[in-house]
Amino acid sequence: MQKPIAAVCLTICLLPLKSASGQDRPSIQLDDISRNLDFVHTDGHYGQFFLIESMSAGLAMLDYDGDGDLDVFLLNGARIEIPGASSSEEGRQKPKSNRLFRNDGDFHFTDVTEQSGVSDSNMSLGVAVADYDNDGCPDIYVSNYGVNSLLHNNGDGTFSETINLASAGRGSRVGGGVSFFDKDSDGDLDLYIGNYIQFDASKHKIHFHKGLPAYPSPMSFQPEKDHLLENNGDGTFQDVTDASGINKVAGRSMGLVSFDYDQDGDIDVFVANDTQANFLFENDGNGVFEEVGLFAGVAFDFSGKPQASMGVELCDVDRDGLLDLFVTSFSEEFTTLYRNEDGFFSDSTLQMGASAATFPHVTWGIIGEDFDNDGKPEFLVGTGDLDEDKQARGGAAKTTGFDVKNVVLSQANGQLKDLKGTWGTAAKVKRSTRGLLGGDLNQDGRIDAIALNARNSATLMQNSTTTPVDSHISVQLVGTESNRDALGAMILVNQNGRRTQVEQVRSGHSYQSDRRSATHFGVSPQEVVKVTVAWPSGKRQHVDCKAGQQITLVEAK
Amino acid sequence: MHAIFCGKANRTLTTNLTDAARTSILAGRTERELLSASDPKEENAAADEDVVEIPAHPAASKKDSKASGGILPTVLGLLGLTLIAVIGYGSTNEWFGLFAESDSVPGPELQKENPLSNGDQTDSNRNLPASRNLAGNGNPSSADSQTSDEETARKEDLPPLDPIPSEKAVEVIEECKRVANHLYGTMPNSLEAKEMLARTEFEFGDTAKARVVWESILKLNPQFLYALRGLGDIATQEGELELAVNYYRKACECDPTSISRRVTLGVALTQAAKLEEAKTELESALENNPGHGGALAELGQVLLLLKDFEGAKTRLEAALAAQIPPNNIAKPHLGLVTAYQRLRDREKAKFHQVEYQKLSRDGSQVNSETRDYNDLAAIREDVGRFYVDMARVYVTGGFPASASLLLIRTSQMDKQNTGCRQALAFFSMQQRKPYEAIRWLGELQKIEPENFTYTKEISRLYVQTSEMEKAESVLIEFLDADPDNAAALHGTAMFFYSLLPNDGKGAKFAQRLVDQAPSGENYALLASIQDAAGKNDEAIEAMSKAAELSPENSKYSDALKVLRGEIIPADIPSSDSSGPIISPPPSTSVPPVVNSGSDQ
Repeated sequence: MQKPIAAVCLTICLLPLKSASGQDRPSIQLDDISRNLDFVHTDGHYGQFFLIESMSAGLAMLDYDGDGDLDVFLLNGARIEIPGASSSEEGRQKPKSNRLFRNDGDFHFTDVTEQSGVSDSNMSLGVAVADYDNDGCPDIYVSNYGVNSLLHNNGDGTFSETINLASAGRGSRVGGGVSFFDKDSDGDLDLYIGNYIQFDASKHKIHFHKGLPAYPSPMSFQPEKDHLLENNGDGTFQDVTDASGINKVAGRSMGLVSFDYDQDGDIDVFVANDTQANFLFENDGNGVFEEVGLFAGVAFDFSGKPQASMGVELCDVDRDGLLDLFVTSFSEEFTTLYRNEDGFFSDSTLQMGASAATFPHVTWGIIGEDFDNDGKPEFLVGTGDLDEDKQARGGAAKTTGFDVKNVVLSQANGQLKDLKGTWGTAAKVKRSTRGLLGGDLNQDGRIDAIALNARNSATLMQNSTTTPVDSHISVQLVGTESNRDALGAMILVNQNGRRTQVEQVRSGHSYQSDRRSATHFGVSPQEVVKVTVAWPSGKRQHVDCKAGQQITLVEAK
Repeated sequence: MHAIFCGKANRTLTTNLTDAARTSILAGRTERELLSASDPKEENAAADEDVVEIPAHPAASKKDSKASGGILPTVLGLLGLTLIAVIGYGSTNEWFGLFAESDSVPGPELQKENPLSNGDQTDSNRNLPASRNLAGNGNPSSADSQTSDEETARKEDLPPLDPIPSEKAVEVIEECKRVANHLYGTMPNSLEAKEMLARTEFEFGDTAKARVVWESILKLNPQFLYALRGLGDIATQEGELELAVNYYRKACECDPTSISRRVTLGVALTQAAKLEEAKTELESALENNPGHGGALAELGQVLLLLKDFEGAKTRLEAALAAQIPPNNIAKPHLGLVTAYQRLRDREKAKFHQVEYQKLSRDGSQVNSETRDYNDLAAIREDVGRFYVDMARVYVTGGFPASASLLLIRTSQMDKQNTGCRQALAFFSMQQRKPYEAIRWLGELQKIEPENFTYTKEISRLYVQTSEMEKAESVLIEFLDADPDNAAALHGTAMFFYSLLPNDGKGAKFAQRLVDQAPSGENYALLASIQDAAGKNDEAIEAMSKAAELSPENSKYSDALKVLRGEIIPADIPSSDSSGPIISPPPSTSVPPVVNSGSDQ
């Protein structure tokens, strides 16, 4: 049931900006304020080296309580039991749950897991957030090893787990990334569920590498087919995996994102696969998909090598109006930038200088946001090996490892440059990041960030970059004919004839993570900002606004 | 001194055993390096270069022509030329290729073939002692060569091996580290010992330590290739891609003829985003090796990145036409999908996509399923390769018992390791223990049943021990199992030709050989056998065919004229620069090995 939309036409609200003045563009500064977020991730490991442990997990940002700021939902792992194995209680930790933190402003977060009803002590891996029933409240889908859960937002600060036959039967699978999107343009949101590997705990044997227990290669497991659930429009879903054609291939899905790669008006799906070709499912407009990754140029890296792809960020890196894909991967592989060249993607990692900084590291989450509001995105890349023992196994470079610093790449003269340790106190934090998301958590017009770190505290990063006053806008869309979250809508921002910035409202971010928020753009202060929205319904709307504003644009009837 | 004939069959015989042994022992290269050699053509080219000049058997020129029963050997004996169109069975030097003549002091060229020699190394930095035999003095026929392993071992501080191979990978690794340290401690001035220490640290230990050791090697010898490569690998691993380029570039400068090093540099330049330089480097490498599949494939990839889709298409198609290692075939197909897609030729793009998918299904790609990984076996295999290399260093330093110990340990740990068994067979022969050598060769036969070389060596050893029936039966058994094996047919024909020239028994096998592989050289062999058996018409017929198939080879036509009685041997110019071709005077009395009796 769709809630009445309070504002039926353009609503513009002015928000005060706390940014300092100054015209120069300094390096971005992200300050480590992790003490403000009381979350420690566990993957449930107890010496068995289940591959799944090393993969977890993503996170989400959403305004679950409708108070206008972004709350944080962090996934947690769990102990994997071997069927039939004797189970000693000794040393067993109390199961930990996913956690929901309410944003109380000024980077104060309150754990509201229990009262909100989102507690889930499964091994959680991926998450997507969207208003699947168009009731104005963001819901949460959690992809687990175990039964997945669809958490319906009741609109009163609580969630109810939805019994859904189409998704309940998938409990034995190992989840990956998840993305809501409107595959058939019928105004409600369908759900793409990535699955990782075929895994049977009862057949588990501890893998050894160089004589020490180690996480096995993903190639030791068969890839698993993904699933597609179609929204029936009544709060239920049906499995259309077979009919949609995505069942023709099986991958080891991790991060994924749905977007209109060929700009034909329907939404396609990119899936980052671990140790095999990435998939790009091209939508024929009727919800039937063909895998075209190889033809489109996103299946492999420039050398024709399948990568251990992990996370993905969709972003117009070079501001040419086309959305590019930045895909993280394993150590001694590049975090690969697939630049969109009008329907063909070209691995431009080398040409853009995005190569050396990430090459030694296993990379996971990735944020492509305009941290310094200069109109060009920077990239925060989460790094960290699978476990702490790589050095012990010998032969490992000292520059890599489990607890390492994340990497920031900024743009200058068309090149990406490693900022190394200059991007604030968060640059000194050495952990092993998995999920990584950006969002304006304190509504100061600057993108902050949170890293979910394996077996460690999350890193909360406050953006303290000195940016000009009023150097951003944020655009919140409300669909009416289109799905209410406007997933799939294109937002084009132009100022004074300069290069147009493009973003697509989407589900599926970074590493198995998601965010429902207004879309942020860095803009030139004191100049009119021309905003154009191409809605999934096909409608287009234009609005001019001032820099420094947050606008909410409701789809015209 | 005469070059032995460099025909294809000969090359096969010479290289099968020799290259492998040389890879793991003689030249200090690991099997990993061999596997990474990007182009079989390059390997073949290298093999061509490695064909060793073997001195004529002293007896060869003194053979009575009647002993061979034919005209040709007489002719050639008169000409002072050496031997026939193929390796002579009767010449043990030639027969063995790898293995040194056990009853005579090898000449310098033969030492070059010795797997424990460094004489043929192209690396200028490997200025190591010349070949040493097991006794450590370079002269297998000296009294010292009779020294037993035990006596030698008493003089050596042996590597600290566990009593039996451990069943725990960690302990296998620890043992390897101990041995590497022992090797270095035993030969502190040996760059190769240092290199093994660095490599062990890089593979199993501390990369930082490996870096320190390799850097210390470069201080002593700035052109030490393996240190340059090792430091390049570390730099790559750590994302210092430009530094890696510098190391690989220096390695190329030290070894400018190696195309594989230049391809490595091209790849490093690409990774370091120096695309134009990568293009130049690879194009330059291809100037001297235009058919090098690996270089073509890499250049194609670079051109794709440079958006020269036509150029990429051309190079990638050429790469496919060239010989590429099976696990690299998919790469050009993938590149061609992109190239044709960008050139708007969807059909061809689709074709290459399908080809790629077929390869994936065949499991020929690196990223095939890896379900049954056995860590202990993998570690034993890796450590075994290290031990074989370390054994080589021990031998060059004059510590043969230590080398033997490591080789035997390798044979215990890795049932598939050919390098250790080849070396042990060689050791056994040096020690005049033919039955021990036969035992190792028998294991090699089981590992590589399709490789005739081992069977041939076994047969030769039986000849040396005067067990002719066994010598014959091993050959026949091989052919029973693999009747169309050209190398085996050739070897068997040569066996009979050399040892029983007058009965023409070899003709049956030579005939099967020409049916199987109708080349000029094979017909020349058949002609020689027929001639030796006194079948002049058949010899003329076969030699006519040889001359017809190889018209450029004047020796066949000359031999044909001799057979026809049109000329006498003295009319044949002796300054023929095309090299010797004609059959060796068969050795009818191969001297038996002086058996020490210790390995019966």
